[in-house]
Amino acid sequence: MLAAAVIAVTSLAQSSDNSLYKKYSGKPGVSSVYISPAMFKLMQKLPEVELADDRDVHFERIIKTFEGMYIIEAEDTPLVKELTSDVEALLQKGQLALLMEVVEKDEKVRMYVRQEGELIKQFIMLELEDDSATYISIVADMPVEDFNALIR
Amino acid sequence: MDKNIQIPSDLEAGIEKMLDGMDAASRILADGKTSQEGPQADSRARIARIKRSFLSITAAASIVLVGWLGYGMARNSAPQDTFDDPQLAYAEVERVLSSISSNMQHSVRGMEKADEIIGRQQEVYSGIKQSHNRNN
Repeated sequence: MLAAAVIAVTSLAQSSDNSLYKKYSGKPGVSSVYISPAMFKLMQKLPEVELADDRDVHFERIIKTFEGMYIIEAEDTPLVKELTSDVEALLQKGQLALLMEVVEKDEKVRMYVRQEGELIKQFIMLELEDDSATYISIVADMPVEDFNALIR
Repeated sequence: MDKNIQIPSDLEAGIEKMLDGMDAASRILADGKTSQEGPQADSRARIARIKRSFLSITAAASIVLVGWLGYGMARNSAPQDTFDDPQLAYAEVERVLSSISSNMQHSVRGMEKADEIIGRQQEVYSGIKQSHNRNN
């Protein structure tokens, strides 16, 4: 029963992302990126990438836990407001918790997570400026410990 | 089909009785007119009509259901991958993670700075309080 509920919530999150992506992708003033679970599986077969010594965070381990990624960026278009309100509606029904908010001059960045036990199942970042909005959604099975490495 | 389910013995008789009743009602509505083949033939024709109606309704409902499910699946099916090359996709994911990491670090630094300011204010406040206590 619990497993069914978890699957239902995950499916709902992905189908919401799919619907949102399909609504805005290809529209004028909108740039979008979708990376599928299949592509993330292919990435795992890539040879280890050499890392610069000065870099603090090793992303390979984190990326291996990803199962899908959606990016929708709207700029200088009336769709900015529509995208913002659509994302806010999606956030309200997606069982996501606000993780942190950065407000600076004209820019506001909000980050949300959906966590199940010790795993981050979904991460969303919404970046708003006067004339642009960027939505990033990552579906994952990411241990909280790996996720915390992004802050260090 | 679950064979454990018991079918009531009088179910068939009940259905026949119901169909006969429907048939009788339809005959009353039709001013008691019966066909030349007699009431039994009318009953058989009635049963055949009911079966046809039932099948038509079931078929129509199935078509609507399949169409609705198909529309839902098409609407929610995954979009097409932006990248064909896993290396390009990897580079994009790294770029996005850098941006996320930078925003998170910025936020945490902001909180640390706020903590520092609050700490300094508390020191100043403690100093004022101590000097006030000494004067009294």
